[in-house]
Formats: sequence, C-alpha cells, structure tokens
Amino acid sequence: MNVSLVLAHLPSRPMGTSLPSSADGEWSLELREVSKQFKDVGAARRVSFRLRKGQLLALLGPSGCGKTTTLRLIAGFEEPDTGEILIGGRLVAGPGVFVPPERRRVGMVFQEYALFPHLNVLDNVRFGLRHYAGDAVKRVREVLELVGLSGLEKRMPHELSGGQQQRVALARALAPEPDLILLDEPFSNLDAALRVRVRAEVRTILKEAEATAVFVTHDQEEALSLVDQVAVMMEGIVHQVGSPREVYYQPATRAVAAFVGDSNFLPGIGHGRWVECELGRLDTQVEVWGPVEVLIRPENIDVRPASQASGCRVRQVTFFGHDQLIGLDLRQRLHLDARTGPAYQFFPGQPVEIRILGPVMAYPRAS
Amino acid sequence: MRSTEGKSSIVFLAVTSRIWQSSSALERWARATGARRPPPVLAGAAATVTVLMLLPVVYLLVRAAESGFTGLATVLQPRTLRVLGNSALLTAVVTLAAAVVAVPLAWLTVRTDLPARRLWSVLTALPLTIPSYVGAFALIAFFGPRGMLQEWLAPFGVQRLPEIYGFVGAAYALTLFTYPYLLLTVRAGLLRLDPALEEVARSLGESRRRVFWRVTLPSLRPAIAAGALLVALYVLSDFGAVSLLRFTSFTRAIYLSYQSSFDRSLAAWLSLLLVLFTILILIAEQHTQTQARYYRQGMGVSRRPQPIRLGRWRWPALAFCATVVGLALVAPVSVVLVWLVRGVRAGNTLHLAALERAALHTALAAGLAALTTVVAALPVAYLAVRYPGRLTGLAERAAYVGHGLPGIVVALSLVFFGANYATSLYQTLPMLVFAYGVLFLPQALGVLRSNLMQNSPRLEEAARSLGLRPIGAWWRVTLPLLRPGMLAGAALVFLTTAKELPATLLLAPTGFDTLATRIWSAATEGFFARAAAPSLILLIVSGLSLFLLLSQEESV
Repeated sequence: MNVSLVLAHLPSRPMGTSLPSSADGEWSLELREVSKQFKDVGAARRVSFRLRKGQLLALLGPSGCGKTTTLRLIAGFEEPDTGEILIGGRLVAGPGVFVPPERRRVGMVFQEYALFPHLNVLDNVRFGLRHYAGDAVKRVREVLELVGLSGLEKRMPHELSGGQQQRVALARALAPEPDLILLDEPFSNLDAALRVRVRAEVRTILKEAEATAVFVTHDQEEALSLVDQVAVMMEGIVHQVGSPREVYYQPATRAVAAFVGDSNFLPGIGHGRWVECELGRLDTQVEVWGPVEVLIRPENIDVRPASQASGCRVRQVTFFGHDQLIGLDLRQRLHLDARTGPAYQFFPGQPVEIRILGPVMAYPRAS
Repeated sequence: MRSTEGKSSIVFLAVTSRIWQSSSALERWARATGARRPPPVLAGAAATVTVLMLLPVVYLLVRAAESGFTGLATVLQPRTLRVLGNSALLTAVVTLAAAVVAVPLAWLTVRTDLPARRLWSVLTALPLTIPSYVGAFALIAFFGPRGMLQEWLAPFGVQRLPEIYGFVGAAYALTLFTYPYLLLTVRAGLLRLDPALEEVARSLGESRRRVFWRVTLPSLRPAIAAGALLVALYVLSDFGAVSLLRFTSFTRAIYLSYQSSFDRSLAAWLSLLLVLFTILILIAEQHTQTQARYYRQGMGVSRRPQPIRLGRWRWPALAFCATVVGLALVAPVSVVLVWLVRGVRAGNTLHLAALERAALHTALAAGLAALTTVVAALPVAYLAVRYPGRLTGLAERAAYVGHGLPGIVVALSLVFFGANYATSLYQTLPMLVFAYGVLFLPQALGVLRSNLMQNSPRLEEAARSLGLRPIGAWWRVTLPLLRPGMLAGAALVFLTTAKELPATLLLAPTGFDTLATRIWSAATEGFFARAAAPSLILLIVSGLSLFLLLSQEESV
C-alpha cells in the first residue's frame, strides 16, 4: 500500500489565536463566563465570546445545546445566573445589573418571524421607531428598500410568502438601527431551495447595513457559509470560537470535529508533530503525545484505482453527482469513508490505493 | 349563633390565606426551577380570581362542618337516601337512553347514505339549544293537566291522562334535550376513526355486521364515555326540568329544603353530597380518559370511507330520525308557538310591558356577567398559558370548579354567605353577577386560553426588543390580538347567562324578574301562555349561543 502525504489546506493561523486581542478595537458584544441553569435542557455554562463591530457570528450546535438560551440571554429575555454581558461596551447583565430587553438596543429576528398579525408591513417595521429622531416613514422606506420589499407596505403579514415575511422581520429589527441583531434559526422555516438564496441575501443585507449580528443555527453548512466567526456549543459549553475555516480544519475538540463536517477517527500514538497509526506515519498540525484519535476528513483521502496487490478495497459507493462517497476496507480491519470527485468509477471489491492530504488533527484518547 | 359564625369566618380566612401563601410559594418554586416568574400584579389578580371562584365550595364546607354531627344526623335519614337513589336512577336511565338514541343517529348521519344526511345531522343536534326548563314547560303544556292533549281529548270523555309529573316525565324530557351531547362526541369519534381499521377487519374475513360490533363500537368507546359524562353531569346538575316535573332529585331537594328554610344546614349537606356525586363521576371520566389513550386513532385521516348503503332499511332509518327530531325539536317549539298565538289572541295575557322589563333585566344581568367574567378570566388565562407550571395549572383548574358545580349549589352557598357576611350584598345585582361569574368563568377561560395559545409569546418579545416596556407590549400587541377572543368569550357568557335559571331564582334582587324566572313562575303556576313569549326569546338566544360555540370550535 502506498500512503504518501501531501500538504494541503494549510491553516492561515495556528490554533488558539483566533481572537484578536482587545487592544485593536471596540467590541460590539462580549460575554464573560455567562451561566444559566435550567431543569431540563438548554442550559448555558460559563459561555464566553466576543464580537467585533460589523462582524457576523454563528452559534452552532445540536438542538438543546444552549445556543438559543445564549441568544435570549443576550436579548434580555432571560437573566443570567452568573457572568456578565456587555453590548457596545455597556454592561447590560451582571452582578446587580439587568437592563430589560427594551433598553438594550438589540434587534431580534425570531425563528417563526413573530410579525404582528394585526399590523401591515409598514406598521410592523415602524413599530420600533416611536422614539426615532428622524422621519420614521422615510426610515421604513429605506429599510424596506434595503431588504427589497418596496411597494409592499400595505400588505398584511399573512399575504406574504415565507421569504418575504422573513425579510420584513429583518427590516423590522434593522429599522431602529440597533447595536446588535440577533437571529434565532432564521432560515429553518424556509424550504431548502429558497434557503440558500435567502441566506446569501440576508448576509448581503446585514453587511450593507454594517450590522453586527449573532445567528443561532444547528445547520453547519449555514454557519460555515454565512458568518465571519463560528462559536461551536455543545451541552452548554462553548468548545471553540474561530473562523469557519479554523472550526472545520482545526476543530478544538473531538466533539467539534465530529459535529462539524464528516469525519473518520482512527486510533494512533502521538510522537510530537507526527502520529503513528494504521495508515503509517502522519504529520499533525499540533503537538500530540501518547494515545490519540486521529481525525481524517473524507475529502482529504485521495482514492485511485490500484493493482491487485493493494490492501485497500472499496466496500460501498454512494454516488451524489457532484461527488461520491467511497466506503473503504483497510486490511479487513479498518473502515474509512472517502469523498472524491465523480471522475473515477469505483466498484465494490475493487482494490484501490489511498493517500492522506495534508497534516491531520489528533485528540488525546482515554486509554 | 354569633360565636359559631365567628369561628367559621376564621376557618374561611385560614383557607384563603393558605391559597394566598401558595401564590407566593409559586414564585419561590418558579425561581428554584429557573422558570420565568410571573409579574406580581398578574399573579395577584389571578390568585384573587381563583380564591373567589373557590369561595362557594369552601363556604359550603365551612357551613356543613359547622353544623357538625347534628347536621350529619339530619342528612343521614331515609329521605336523603331516597333522594340519592332518585338522582342515581335518573342519571343512569337518562344516560343510557341518550346513548340508545344518539349512537344510531351518529352512525346514520356519518356513515350511511341516509337521504338528506347533512340536514339530519344539523336537525338532530339542534335540541341542544332547548333549555331543559323550556322543554319541560312545553311537555307540561302539552301532556299536563289543562294541557293541549287534555283539551283535545276532553270531548271524547277522557278525564285524566297518565301522570306526566315524576320520574317518567323527567327522564323523558332530559333524554330528549341531552342526547345531542352524546351525539356530537360520537359523531366526532366516528369522523376521526381510521377507515383502514374496518377495512383490515373485512379483509380478515369478518362480515360488515360483525365488524361493527368487533371494531367500530369498541373504537368508539372513549367517545361514548366522554359524551355520557356530559349527559350525566347535565342531568345531575339540572334544576329546571326536574323541578317543573316535580321529581325530587338532589337539585329539587336542595331547593325545597332551602325554601322550607327552618333548617338550612340540611340544604348545605345535600349540596355537598351532590358535589361529591359530581366528583365521583368526574373521577370516572379521568379513568376513561386514561383508557382512551389505548384507543387513540392516527391523526389527519382525510380519506372518508364509502358510505354504507341502507337499501330498504332507509325507510325505518328515516322514520327514526324524524321521530327523534319531531319529539325533541318540532314538538316543543310548536307547543311554545301555539301558546304564544293563544296568548296573543286572548289579548291581555301577553303582558308586553312585563316581558319587556324581563328582557331588559336579562340583558342587564347577562351583560354585566359577560363583562366581569371576561375581565376576571384574562389574568388566569394569561398566567396559565404564558407561565405554565404546577401551581398555575392548579390555579387554572380551580377556576374551572364552576364547570362541575350545579348552579343551585353555587347559588345556595352564596345565599348563605350573603345572609351571614355580606348582608349589604345579599340579593343585589353584584351578588347575582358574582354567581354567574363562578358558573361561567370556565367558558370565557376556555375561549381566551385557546386564543392566547395561538399567539406566540415571541410576539411580545419582539415588541420588547423594539423598545416597549412589558405593559406597552401587552397593550399594543397582546390585547389587540386577543380582542376577537374576548368578544367571543363575552358573547358566549352573555348567551349562557341569559338562559340560567337556579342562580337567578335564588339570588336575583326582589322584583328583578328575568326571562328565565318568568318562564319558571308562569310554568309552575300553569299560565302557559305567559311563559310562551319568553320561551321563544330564550330559544332564539340559545340557538345563537350554539352557533357561536360551533364557529369558535371551528376557528381553533
């Protein structure tokens, strides 16, 4: 078997430096060790992260991981048990301090949009502009133009399509020019075909409005494609905050690696910057020692047809069109999934040779 | 006497303060579990309403406890046992008879090719709108002495008709005017039934007839049980029909012992027994509900089974439907109309001015009841929907207590309470309105609750994040959205109150006669023509309330 290593997808920055230091600018949002206990699910445990003005951050995690709780803590719909929350440098929740939602200057877009059913589009968007310094109606027209809904001012919410309702909700949140926009699973009520388009539109709108925004989502593709920063939450704990690329290629924990993207794990022994495993010697991105689990992304396994002599065979092929997933048997003992382009046609039982692209990640293994 | 009253007021205070404490316990509990804490104003308002709802029952207990063993001795006598037996027998017979009428009607109007099926399904449900005392009045005006039948038969030398008063008359009247409860629940059960069940049975080699007995009927058991419960509760709490037809069940015995008035603790004890009886039946319902889970059918069955061809059985089926509708709907309405015409012909018996005054009184009392009930229901419904928890659930259920309480019991308890502690309120309009509130709060609560459930709490949160304080969010978002529900709830309470008899009879201020009390006094005294006009008005009011109820259920 020929296992060779090719360096690819080199990370731009080493791990652990994903957050720039506080010296270089103002933070729009900062959470310091925020905790909220619940009886059943959805607790937040010592959640910390911060977000620069104009950036988009996704709170990504499986359902019940506490991401919506975190969002509601920021909005002021829940009061943290401990910890501090700062919005635009102002303490809004902390020991002895609790600013109610209406005085936080935070816009919220709910999963089910929560458009006021008894008000038309104009009045919905104008709802938060009672104390607006300028011309409120002019501001409404501005925001509606931004979201591409000019001319629909007189429509009632039930007369709008799902995508339009979503944009009205966004316009309503943007209208009072809040310091921060919060979006709770904003795309989950849209059908798959619409979702990709609306997602891109919303990103454009938010960037155009120079808004700072926090999304909650359980959809990793959504998180990776939409935002500047991803905070991965599991069981109430933030496992990692980083750019989409960092979260994908340098997952901080095995759990993050397993949740974000598809993954193969195989046992190995760390020897510093390389590991010894079933596939031979592999270089690692970080220093590891002793028993480890090695993470190999399916698309980092290059599969080629080989002579009969190879110890690696195709077990199963799932063809998707734009790519294919190849299930591999390695010396009868080890199963790996590889993702390749559709060019080669593979058959079950076919001998192949594989090589691993780039240095891998490895996580300490309980022995 | 004075000292016992003092004692009982202490007991009463202890009970109410207990309930107050539990509302602060609610907050502590909410904090401990991390649930959101309701605003104190809201919790206080809801707790006040709950306490007021419980007042009649609590006071009845106090009253009975006060009379102690002597009171118990007066109630434990053969006469009481006979009353108990009468009530049990009437409830059982009417429930059974209603099932015998309702189940075939439901099956015919849902599953067969009965001619004019839709028309029959409406007509057979309509007797629901006839207040039992109006029905009983019609029965007496037709079959009773000096009634229409007697007049017709007199020329043929018939001097006496078989007695309409007593068990037979009461059972007959109550069956005819309560079977629609069963009909409606069984119809709903049949419509929900997955036709695949019957088809599977057919494919397993069972004949259509055996499928009915082995699959259809067992599947309908929870629906039949639920409907039977409604009928049984109605019979047990009915006052008008049994009193007019002079059958001494609990409600009439309570009224009689209240009127004879030298020993009111007997009335209190009888009321308590009636409440106990009601609770027993409610427990039985809980039992059938847990059973019903095993029978629950798949949701969203849209496929309707092929209607069963009746063939030559069509004629007996039609005759059956026509007989039921004839006896339960056409006959009473015709009798009322005939006496109305007779009254008009006779000229002076219509008493137009008195009728107008009674109608005004009815509208006034019902209007006030509707207003106060909806206002009182608002905090309870809001608390139950927005801050669900064990204690808020308890508060809500306590507010539903009036649903199971016979009107005569609530009225009697308030009569005692008013005579002893609130003499300035005794036999005043506020006291009457309060009794209506206890009885009909559940109706308003139900409508408001389902309306609130439809409005996502996210709407209020959206308003908060757009800069409104909680009260502002409530005013500008929640209240406008609740308006239709509040209107519907108020209308429902208004229409139900207009028909109410026993509480009105006991608590109305002297000289404050309503349509219901006018029918009552005219019918008991045998002035049938005088009862006809108010009866007709109430039939119309009643029809409106059914229409409203059905349109509410559709919108939910």
